[in-house]
Amino acid sequence: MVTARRCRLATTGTAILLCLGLVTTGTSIVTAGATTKHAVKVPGVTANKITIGATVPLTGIASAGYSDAAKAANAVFKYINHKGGVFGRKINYVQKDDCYGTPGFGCTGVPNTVTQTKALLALPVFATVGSLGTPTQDSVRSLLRANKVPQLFVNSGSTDWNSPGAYPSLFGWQINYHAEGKIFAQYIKTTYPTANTCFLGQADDFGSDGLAGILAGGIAPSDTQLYTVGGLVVSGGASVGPYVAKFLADKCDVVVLYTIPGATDAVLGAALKIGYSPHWIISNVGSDPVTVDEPFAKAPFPDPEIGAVSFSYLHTTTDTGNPWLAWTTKVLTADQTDFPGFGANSVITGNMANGIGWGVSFVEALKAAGKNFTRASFLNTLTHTTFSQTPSLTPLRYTPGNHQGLNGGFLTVVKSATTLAPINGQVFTTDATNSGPIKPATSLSSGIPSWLK
Amino acid sequence: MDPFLTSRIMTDLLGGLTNGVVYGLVALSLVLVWRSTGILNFAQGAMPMVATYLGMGLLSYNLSYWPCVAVAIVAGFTIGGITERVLVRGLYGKPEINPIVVMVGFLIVLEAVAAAVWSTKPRGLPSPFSAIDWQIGGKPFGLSDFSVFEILTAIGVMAVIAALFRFTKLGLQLRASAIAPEVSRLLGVRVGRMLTLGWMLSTAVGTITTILVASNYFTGLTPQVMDGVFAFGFIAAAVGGLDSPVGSIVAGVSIGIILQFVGDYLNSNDIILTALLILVVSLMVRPNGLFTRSSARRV
Repeated sequence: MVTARRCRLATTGTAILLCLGLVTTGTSIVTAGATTKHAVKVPGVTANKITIGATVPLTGIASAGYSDAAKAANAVFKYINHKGGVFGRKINYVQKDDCYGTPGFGCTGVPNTVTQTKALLALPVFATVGSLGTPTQDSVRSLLRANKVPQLFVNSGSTDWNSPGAYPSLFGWQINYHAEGKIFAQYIKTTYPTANTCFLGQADDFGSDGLAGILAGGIAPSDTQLYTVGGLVVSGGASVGPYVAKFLADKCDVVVLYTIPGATDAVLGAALKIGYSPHWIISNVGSDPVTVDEPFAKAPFPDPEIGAVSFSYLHTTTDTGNPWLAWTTKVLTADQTDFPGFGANSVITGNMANGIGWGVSFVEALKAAGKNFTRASFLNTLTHTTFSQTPSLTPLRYTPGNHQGLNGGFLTVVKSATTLAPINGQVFTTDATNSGPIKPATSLSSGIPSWLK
Repeated sequence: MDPFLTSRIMTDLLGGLTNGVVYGLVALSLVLVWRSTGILNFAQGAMPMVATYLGMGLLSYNLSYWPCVAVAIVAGFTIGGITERVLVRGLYGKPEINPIVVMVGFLIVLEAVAAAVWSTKPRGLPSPFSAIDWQIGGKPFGLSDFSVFEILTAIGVMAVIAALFRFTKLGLQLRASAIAPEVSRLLGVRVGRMLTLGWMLSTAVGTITTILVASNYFTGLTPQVMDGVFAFGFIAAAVGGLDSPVGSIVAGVSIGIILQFVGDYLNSNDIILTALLILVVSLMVRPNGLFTRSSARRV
């Protein structure tokens, strides 16, 4: 009897463990494609309110740092709402936690991206704005297309967001990983011409886009490794250790990382542990100094990220002449709900700056679309306007045939646990094609529109 | 000699041993609860996580490391005791799925509450000893001061638990209450109190484990810090036998070493798959676990 009971329990336990770890736990209770029953012409829009939404990681391994981006964008919306909104409409921004699409270990009980997106559709929302993640947003782009809901400013540098033919209402925002990779490759070729370069990336389009850019830029890594998010989550980051040991054994002088901050931490920690210090080159989305430093904050050694090279499509906080810096501080200070204690001397992290960037872009696009707009007219405005007064380094420009977004940025270096600084300040632009040249930027973004101040 | 000490096999062996003792400790804490109350505690990672936040959170108030550790362990004892009294007491004798559902629910609640109170940002805990690997002849040797501390702590905890069960009257009462509650009650053992004590011990062991896991700079303390470790600890407990403290530790260390080799020689993306494979195969071949001697107690 005892044996039988133990067998049953062990089996039940195993089943639950499998459920927790491997199966997406969320099931939908709302109907997909719930279209509006309100007496309004445009879903999510009334005379005095526009409802938009996003799925973002508020818990789990990707929440470190990333959870601040959508909150910062919301601080922009609250600031505008406080000034009376856009054409009298207040922006209602609904953020749903999707735990980076890895429910189970790390975020037991959190519904997945599809379930949360369906919940947004049921509200309804005018559009999703700034939803985060490459694998997560890939998983809902067909769903959003089927429901004709614009998927705007996806918070990821994948090239997947630029397919106007297949996904006419899908838009990226930040410069793509492929372009960033090409600019990294150019830097490696000129700075470390004889170096043995190795590559570690996330095993999805995030890592493969970055790798494609590095290859297109003329650098062939001698050792290429891809980690899975699932393995990273379950092992608490330890799964990247063997890759780092391999890089040491292979004598890699330069290691390029296309990693989320949690994985960057794990890599830097594993390298520190074995006394390995190559030249790190870290994709923008995995390099935010404040986020990366968090686990090392109490360590008796300097932040291991110092000296690492990264890339930015935004001004750094060292650029005190940039008017957006003071504006950002003002907006975040005004939002003591999401940024309690934020003040004049607080650090603006890369993720906050990112959220401010696309938050402003949405507000500017909404303004440009005019008082009476539809989803179609809004998208038409978006693809026929150049936004040249934005917090980004280069103007934001979409066309009917190009939905990628920003196309320029400069190389940066991690100066301290809180700051990135430009290496030489030269802003380059390029595209996501293998042959597209890397050129010095011909026009830069400048100034704040007076109505936004 | 030197090349062997810093060889890939040796590094993997030592790295695996360091991970393995942690899995063994988690398994041991699961076994303690199972043996005393016959419940599989799915919140076994989350309860100590809360205790660790409560204790190590005092670092922010300028308390030094070791007093914080002591507070965390006391918090672990307390949380274990309260949970047994309030949440678990009513579940005895109910269908076995009931406590599993309740404890999974409790896990979700605890992680959500911890995220709300302390946020999901990783908190770096100071490490009492250097976590940087030793070097022999300029090459890393798979041990650091901290990993030696981890291994010694694990051995120490195991020795204390073993001595308690083997050599003390209290240990005898704990074992008696678990195996034959009615008889024990007739003989004057306060069975309810023993069951509470089982949970207290288990959560305290869990808290020590959580502090070890979070005090290494590289991961930090998060509400989910124990999720992955719990999974491997659970597998170790199931493989070693839920009844067997020795089995859980042996299985924990073995799994740690096997997974380290899989990560290095195959691919670290295969680690979870291998762990689940070990679990499934072991349940098929020896569903009672490798070390359990349950048939002797068949009733």
